Amino acid sequence: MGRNDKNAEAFYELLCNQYFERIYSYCKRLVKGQAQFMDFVEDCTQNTFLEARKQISHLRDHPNVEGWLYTTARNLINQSYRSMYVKKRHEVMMNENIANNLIEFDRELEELFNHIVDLDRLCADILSQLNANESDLYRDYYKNNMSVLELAKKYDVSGTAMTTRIYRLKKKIKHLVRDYFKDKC
Amino acid sequence: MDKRSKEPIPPNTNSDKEIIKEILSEKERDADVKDRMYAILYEASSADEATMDTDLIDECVKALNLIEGREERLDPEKIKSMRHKVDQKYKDWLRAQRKHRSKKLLGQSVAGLILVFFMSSAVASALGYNLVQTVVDWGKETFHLSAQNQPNVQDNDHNIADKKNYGNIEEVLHDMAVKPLLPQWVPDGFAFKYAEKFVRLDNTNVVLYYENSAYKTIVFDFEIYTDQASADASFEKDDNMVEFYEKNNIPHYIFQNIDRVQAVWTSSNVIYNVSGDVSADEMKKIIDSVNGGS
Repeated sequence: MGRNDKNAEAFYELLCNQYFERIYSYCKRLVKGQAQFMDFVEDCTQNTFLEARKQISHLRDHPNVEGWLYTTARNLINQSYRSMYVKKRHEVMMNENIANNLIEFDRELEELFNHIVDLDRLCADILSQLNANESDLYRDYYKNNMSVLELAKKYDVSGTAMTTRIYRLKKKIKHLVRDYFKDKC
Repeated sequence: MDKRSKEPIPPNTNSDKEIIKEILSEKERDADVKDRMYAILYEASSADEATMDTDLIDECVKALNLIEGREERLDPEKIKSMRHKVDQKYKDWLRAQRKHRSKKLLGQSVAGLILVFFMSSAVASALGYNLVQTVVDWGKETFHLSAQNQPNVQDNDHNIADKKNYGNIEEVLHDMAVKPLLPQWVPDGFAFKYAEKFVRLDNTNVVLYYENSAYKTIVFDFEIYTDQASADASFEKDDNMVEFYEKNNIPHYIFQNIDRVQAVWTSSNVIYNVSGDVSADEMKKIIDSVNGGS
């Protein structure tokens, strides 16, 4: 195997390690996680990396390899949809009652949280379960009052991506509080 | 989702208690957030590969996984098995490529044996040659062309192809004495991908690859011959009829092989062999464009 081939293999290996799972998750989201499409989620992920391997020498000089992988995966998913004559729109709407019940549960959660005796300890416990990135974001956003724009600049992502990341942080905290009370009940 | 720009959350406090209370007080239906998140995901996915915001896509995917309570990682064993399948598919592809290449080299690179060549008798007559007689015939599975010419005696070892890849058409045709006519039209969505050139003593083979976003391809295979060559050529086809299409007094033969439509013809020492994931009508438009328009 020549030096160039070895470099190409190493680059392909790097792409797989870094993006295989992400591309799989992306494909899964594009079909809205529907169980009946999991086969072609797998196929499209595999074919995305098959294409990458075929074109690996070109990809090494590509200005946005990540973008190439995502667009290839998107195209393959669209192609699979078309070939199966399946309509693109698959709305998985949450049942209205379930959604309202969840809001109701959130209200209860707020009440429970407000009436806990050792709130400081609970907060410390909740926050200790955040990972390093989430803790950093919590500190920057809530403690240091950094704006979304400042955060976007600091973390080198777009404003929308940062807003989504903050949403995830809040959601995770809610889940942790919910899990705490579930364990206590 | 984020109200910071309007009202700081929580205003002027650093207390974790207050912050978490505030987070819990924000009420949003998951279904609404999910809809919005999918809208953002699809919008971000519609960008082209150079400008795609992949961070935003990742954030949306993670947020949706969180809403649906499916944050679980892909099992390493599963990844291993999927990657194994990719490796297998890649090996199959390499084998097919090698087979295709050896078939091409076998058919084209050994001087005095089999060369893919035919020339129209009209061109030969126009040039004052009475050397070429082109015979075209076809059966159920093959399309055969035969051209007799004065034998070109060469040392076989000297006719080994020198192959190079090119990123643009100008580069591949640079310094070629005889240039093939190029397509001025290809169906919507197809774009030039890359080119290959095989240089031999008797001929030069230029191959242009076009592809669309659905990975459908059109391949233009030009064989540019010296006046002295002589050859037989066979193309695989299915059992559909060969269609004869005349343009600028040149006979073009259109047939099908598996799902691809193929057209072959010759003009001025160049053999044109075009195959692609196109319809016969689109192939005729391609032929028209190669021959200077409709």
